[in-house]
Amino acid sequence: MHTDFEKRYARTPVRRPSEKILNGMRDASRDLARRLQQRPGRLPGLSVFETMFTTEQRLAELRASDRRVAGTYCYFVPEELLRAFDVTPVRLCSGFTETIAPSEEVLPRDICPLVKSSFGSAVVGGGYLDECDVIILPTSCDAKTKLGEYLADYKPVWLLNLPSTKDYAIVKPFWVQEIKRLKTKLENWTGRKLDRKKLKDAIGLFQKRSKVYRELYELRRAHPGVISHQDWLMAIQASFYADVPTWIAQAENLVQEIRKAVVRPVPDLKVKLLLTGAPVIWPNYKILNIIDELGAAVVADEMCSGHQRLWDYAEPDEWTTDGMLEALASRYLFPATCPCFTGTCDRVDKLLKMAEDFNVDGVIYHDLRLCQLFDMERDLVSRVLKERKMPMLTLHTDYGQEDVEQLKTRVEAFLEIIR
Amino acid sequence: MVWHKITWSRRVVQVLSFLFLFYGATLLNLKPQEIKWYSLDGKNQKMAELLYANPTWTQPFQTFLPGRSCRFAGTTGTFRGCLMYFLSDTLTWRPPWKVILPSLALLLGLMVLLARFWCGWLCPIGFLSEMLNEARRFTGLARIKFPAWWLATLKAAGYALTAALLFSAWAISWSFVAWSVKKPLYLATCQICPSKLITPLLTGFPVMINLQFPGASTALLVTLFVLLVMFTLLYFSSAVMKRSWCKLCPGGVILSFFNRGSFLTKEKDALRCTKCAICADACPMETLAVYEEKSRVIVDHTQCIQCYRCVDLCPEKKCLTVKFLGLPIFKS
Repeated sequence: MHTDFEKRYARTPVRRPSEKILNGMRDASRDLARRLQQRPGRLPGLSVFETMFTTEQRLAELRASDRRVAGTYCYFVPEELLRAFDVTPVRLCSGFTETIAPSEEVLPRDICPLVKSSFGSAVVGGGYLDECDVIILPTSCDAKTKLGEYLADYKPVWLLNLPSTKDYAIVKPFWVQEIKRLKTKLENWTGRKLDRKKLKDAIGLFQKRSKVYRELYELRRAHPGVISHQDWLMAIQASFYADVPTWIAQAENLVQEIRKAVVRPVPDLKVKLLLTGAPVIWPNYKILNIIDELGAAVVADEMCSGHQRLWDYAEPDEWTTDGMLEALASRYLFPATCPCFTGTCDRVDKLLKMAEDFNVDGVIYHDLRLCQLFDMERDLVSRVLKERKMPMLTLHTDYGQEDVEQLKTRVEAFLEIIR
Repeated sequence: MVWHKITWSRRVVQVLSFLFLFYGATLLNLKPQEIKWYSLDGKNQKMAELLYANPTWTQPFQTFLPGRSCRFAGTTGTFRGCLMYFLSDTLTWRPPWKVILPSLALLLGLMVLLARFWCGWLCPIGFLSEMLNEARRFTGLARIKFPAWWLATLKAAGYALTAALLFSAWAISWSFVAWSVKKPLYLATCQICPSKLITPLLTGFPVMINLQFPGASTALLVTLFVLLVMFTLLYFSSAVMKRSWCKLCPGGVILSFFNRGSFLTKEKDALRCTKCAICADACPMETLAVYEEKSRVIVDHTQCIQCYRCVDLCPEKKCLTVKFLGLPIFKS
């Protein structure tokens, strides 16, 4: 079958299976889960999301099921389309620091930790990446683009050629073609034509997921203290792997619990912060933990691993196969505020809106070390926020724990200014 | 699935409007004056003014509407004709002000009040073209998208056509223009309108198409007929291309000048917008104006037929609002 990567010159894939590293990852997940459980007044409905990370139940489920599994990265892979082909999408963006060292045997040292960590799980094995039959990779940033070539040593990798601008007139026709190309690939792979009814059901299901998320968002907006942001991100990131109807049911349950909890007044938060910038991914909740420990609280985020993932939904103008593919193309491109696109303004708009919605006291800009894109967007964001008298703190860090004390000092100083 | 209440209410209004404009006289048992659409005296090769024999002060249902209240709805329809018919006829006959004033005042009032809301909600021809499109959607066949250059061509052609039709209506009143030109160009707007074929098809009103007429230029008659066939084909292509004729319609072009500054306004809260492009996908006129506007509040533009599909499908609460005289009537 056609591949996006030539194999005329090839590497032998490096495999370093290591129980020690896998145990380290399990420990990291369990430690974080334990810390989250200790928060007083934590809603019991959150524990179902946590099992996604603390147990290997879902991994076993995927192994046992005869459905094909497709690994995805970033924001831009139309999961509805995969679902219509009975393919289970699993988002592979990784937050484990343990897999970075093994990845460096192959990858250069000076690339972003997210890519290294994600690639490391291929080297170490034993995780979700191993269960994938194919990997679908949008060419969002340089590191992700080249990551495809490395991953192609392990699994078949399909590229989605992501444009660099979001200009509708120029980019939409191209991106629709790209989505249709993915459809054709899926058709050839599964040996089935795309079923209109199945795609419609899938889009309907994801609309429902988005509706539930929006309900949660509105509740959180009204009562920011009802759930910690670490729990919030954890629940969202459970959807990276979870079966969609199951996730929806769990989220609906959470909605009910929050409704019940907010009958009694929720303690007001002293300092409310908005988190933006590079994705914070389980279990790298380092900066959230620091902020929580210092008595402030992140109440909202604008990250592709958080809010962005579940907020948007596809809304076809017409429910023909073509119309639905077009709607998916729009859904998985235009609302994204990824810095891989030329403009920063859309992101600024979203930030300002969220800052207004949550009435926040400051903004935390998470700058993942060696991600030039987020780094370069920071200037405009900070200038606009400064004009609006909104304090902003940049945390320039990576997945490691070495700089925790230093970050703590910086956050403390920032909180002093706000207070 | 999301419940689209604006689209559904629009469908109800469209059906009622269609029934009223095309079959109102029959359904409500009104007795409209028979329309004498052969108002030319062919025998003496002279114009014979019959249309304004009766002033319309006392006949509210015998006047004109901005939408396609087509004259070819004949005896079953409720109104005398559409905006283009009135303008062409007035330019040709130039009757005294007191005769045309009621119709003119009504038309202007309705245009300022609703502008291209007429196209989106009330025009029966626009409604039928949407029904053609709905039929195609039902079969699951793909839609054909207009490329940008073709959209621009249609827009420019619409302006050119409107200007040409109004100019010809005026020019045939000049005494030095030959009868062979006058005759075929009389009400040229109706001679080329797809509604000339579609409306009689629905109402059973007899329509004659003469490719030869005593004393009239056959070349012109044939040219107009070719245009009629072309535009009718364009109209029927709305099954696969959304609102294809409406992108050219001369009546729409005139209404489009009233879109900004009419009582209806469409407003956008740019900060609430996530740029998801659902509005751009949904627009039946395939414009990007609402999507691309990121700073101004009012997003009315000439091409908008005020169907509010964008408002209906917009996933962000209160991002798009339709206001009538400042009062919100629809919200996303």
